[in-house]
Amino acid sequence: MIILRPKVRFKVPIEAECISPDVFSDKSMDEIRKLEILYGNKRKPLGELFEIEEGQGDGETIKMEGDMSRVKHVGAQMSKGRIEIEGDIGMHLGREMSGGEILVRGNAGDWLGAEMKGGLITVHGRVGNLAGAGYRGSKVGMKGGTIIVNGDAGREVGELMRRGVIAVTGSLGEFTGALMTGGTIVCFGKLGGRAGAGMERGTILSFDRPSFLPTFKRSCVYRPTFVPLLLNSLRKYGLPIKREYLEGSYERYDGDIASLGRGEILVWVGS
Amino acid sequence: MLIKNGLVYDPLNGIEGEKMDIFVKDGKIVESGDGGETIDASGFVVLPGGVDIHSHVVGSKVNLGRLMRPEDHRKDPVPKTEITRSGVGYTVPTTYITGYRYALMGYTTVMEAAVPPLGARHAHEELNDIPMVDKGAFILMGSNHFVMKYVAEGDLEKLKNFVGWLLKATKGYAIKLVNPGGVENWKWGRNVNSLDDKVENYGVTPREIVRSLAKVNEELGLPHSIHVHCNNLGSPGNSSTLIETVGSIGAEMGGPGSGESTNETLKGTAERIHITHIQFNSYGGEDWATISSAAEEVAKTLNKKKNATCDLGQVIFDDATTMTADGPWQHKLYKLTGNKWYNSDVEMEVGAGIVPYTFKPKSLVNAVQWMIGLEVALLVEDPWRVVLTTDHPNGGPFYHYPKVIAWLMSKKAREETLGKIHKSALSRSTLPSIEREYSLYEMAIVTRAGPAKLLGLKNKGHLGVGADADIAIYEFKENDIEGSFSRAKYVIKDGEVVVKDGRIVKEHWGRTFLVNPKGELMDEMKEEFSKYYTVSLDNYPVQPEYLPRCEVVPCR
Repeated sequence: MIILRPKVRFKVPIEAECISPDVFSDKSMDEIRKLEILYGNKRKPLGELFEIEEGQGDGETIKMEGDMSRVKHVGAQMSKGRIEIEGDIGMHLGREMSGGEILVRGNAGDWLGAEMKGGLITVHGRVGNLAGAGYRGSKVGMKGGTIIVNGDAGREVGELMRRGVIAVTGSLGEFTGALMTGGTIVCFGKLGGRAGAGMERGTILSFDRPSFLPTFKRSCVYRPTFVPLLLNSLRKYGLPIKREYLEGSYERYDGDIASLGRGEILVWVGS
Repeated sequence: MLIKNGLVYDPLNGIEGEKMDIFVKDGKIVESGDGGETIDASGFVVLPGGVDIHSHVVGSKVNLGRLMRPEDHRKDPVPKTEITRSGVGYTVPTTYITGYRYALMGYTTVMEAAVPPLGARHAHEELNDIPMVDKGAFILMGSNHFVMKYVAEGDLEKLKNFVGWLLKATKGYAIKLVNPGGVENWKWGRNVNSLDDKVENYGVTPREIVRSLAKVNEELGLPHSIHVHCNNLGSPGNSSTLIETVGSIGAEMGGPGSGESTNETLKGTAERIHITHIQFNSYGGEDWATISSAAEEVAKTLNKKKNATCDLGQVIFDDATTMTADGPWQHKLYKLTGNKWYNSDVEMEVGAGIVPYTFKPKSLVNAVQWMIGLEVALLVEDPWRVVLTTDHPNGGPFYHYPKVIAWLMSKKAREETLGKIHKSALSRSTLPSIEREYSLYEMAIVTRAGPAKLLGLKNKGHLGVGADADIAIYEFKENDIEGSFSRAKYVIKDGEVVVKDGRIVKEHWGRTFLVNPKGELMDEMKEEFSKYYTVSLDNYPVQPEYLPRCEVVPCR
């Protein structure tokens, strides 16, 4: 295990793509300290800004402690290992990751797990906008993996999502799952307005009645077989899944009929 | 400056791989010299700087392409260095990166192939921001109101006057036609499907537009021929349109004839036509399922018709951003791919469209397209009438030219790619059976000497005394042709070393070429202009201030 602590309070944004188990593995402590990061517009060695020490435990694990709300791109494109973050973390955490695990005990910035392909991100805190989304111009956002948020999340979460699961215990901002072409978003709190705008396929599951866009059409009330399966599989992440959710009925809304219209928003209507 | 002991290939002067010294003074190549810098080129190949006859590097639609594709830039950021500025690639690079990447490949002259007259000022502003290379702009006229009006009236004198004036007003270099007539029809939701379809409201046909402009082009004595993007581009079975277009040039209006110019000084010179990105117009078959190569017939036509030339528009298996003034075709492509689409209407003049596209080797259509480009290049016997292009960024980014060079020069390189493409494509083209391999000499023709000659740039594309000192020096490795031409050992631009060992060592600013033909503004145009244009006539011409570094190329 490698432990990183900021040496100072960062005043400018830091781009630290190199903080990733893929980069750290098979590097000595000296080599890790020399890895380059961008501090504002200046290139600096990692060791100048972070105190780096070797801790007990698995070699593939990176632990970060302190206020890192200005540190961006941590765990970018990682494919293995584990990052544990105690404190706030900046934007683009775990972007385009394909495997491994990220755990945050604190708040995370925008673009969390953007365009990720696999792996697991768990956040115990607030998450910014565009988690699991596709970067501007991209056709596809999140393609796989799981994002669990024990807290609120911002706007446009799961935008352009194609596969994978995003589960949020708190409330979600506007345009949740906009333009999504697949995948599942589960909202245990309040679902924001205009959810699923432009969605082609995919599922948004809500346990609270949201306001719908006029291009969503009520279809039926039924008991989809997959919902208990999905919720049971999410149990291991400690989400507030009540028994009634497993046994209850759901109202299905088709949409967005201004687009392909094969998506659905499922609203729990009680047992 | 002295370039010593290099193996020189200079097709315009008939020099094929001779070991010789080249002297440079004041940006020109001279007979002999003394002192100055000496570059030891022993073991290296010395060529004139490359000339790109058709590329989309600046102007309104290129810029919109940039705006439209953040995902394209994201994968290719270019940091600044002490000498060069930062920017981004990939298919639509920023102006600075465009200049640098051309120079790194040993290219020193680039022609922007489609500038709407109303966008000319913007195009020149951007051209001024492209370092390293000399440049020029082709002006879109195929669906211009005044052009079609004068063609409909059959008044070639007025047409000539207008074309001459327009080229001067826009500081352009050549006449470009894109889907002549079709772009105007697109404004009414239609297209033209053959050379004899009528253009809405004007009653003229594409055939008349092409012929009239070809005639006017010669009478004005413009250095380049008309530069034509044919009708029906991109559609299966469109080779017949191409062959008919080529056939219509040089024939007298309304009847058969030699097509000789009536202009006294030009008597005896036939009308010329340059078919651009010929690959996109050499399709056989009836629909997308039966698409096949018609390169054989196309090459046969070109072999017969000496006044027709072409550039390839070779497809690279990679991302591309298709952008053309051919609005109806771009709409078709948008419908086919479902990708994002941009459509533009340039009021009285032309239109444009942009659709991102990816050419995939496993796609049957793309594989056939890839084969056609190379097939044409290898089947046309005279390399002087073929130019290597990818129609950047339509077939792929220009910095993949070395790939195309490798395919042309090595059957082995072709076979390697043939092994990766859709199997059904193999029987739809003669490419697998073609043995021809370009020699270095022929390669120098299709990338340098040929395009310079076609453009009428007398000081480009060769290393004779008096030529501009644009020189590219490569370390040529038989087993790595692509690598050899991707990074030049040295590039000398206007007598200064700008690239050394594949790195930019000096930022240099090239000139913009323009022509100065006869042609004055007519009073009747003023009236129509004030009635129908959104800009006033006074604000229309590009002021000379927009071309701080320029060179007028004399008319013939």
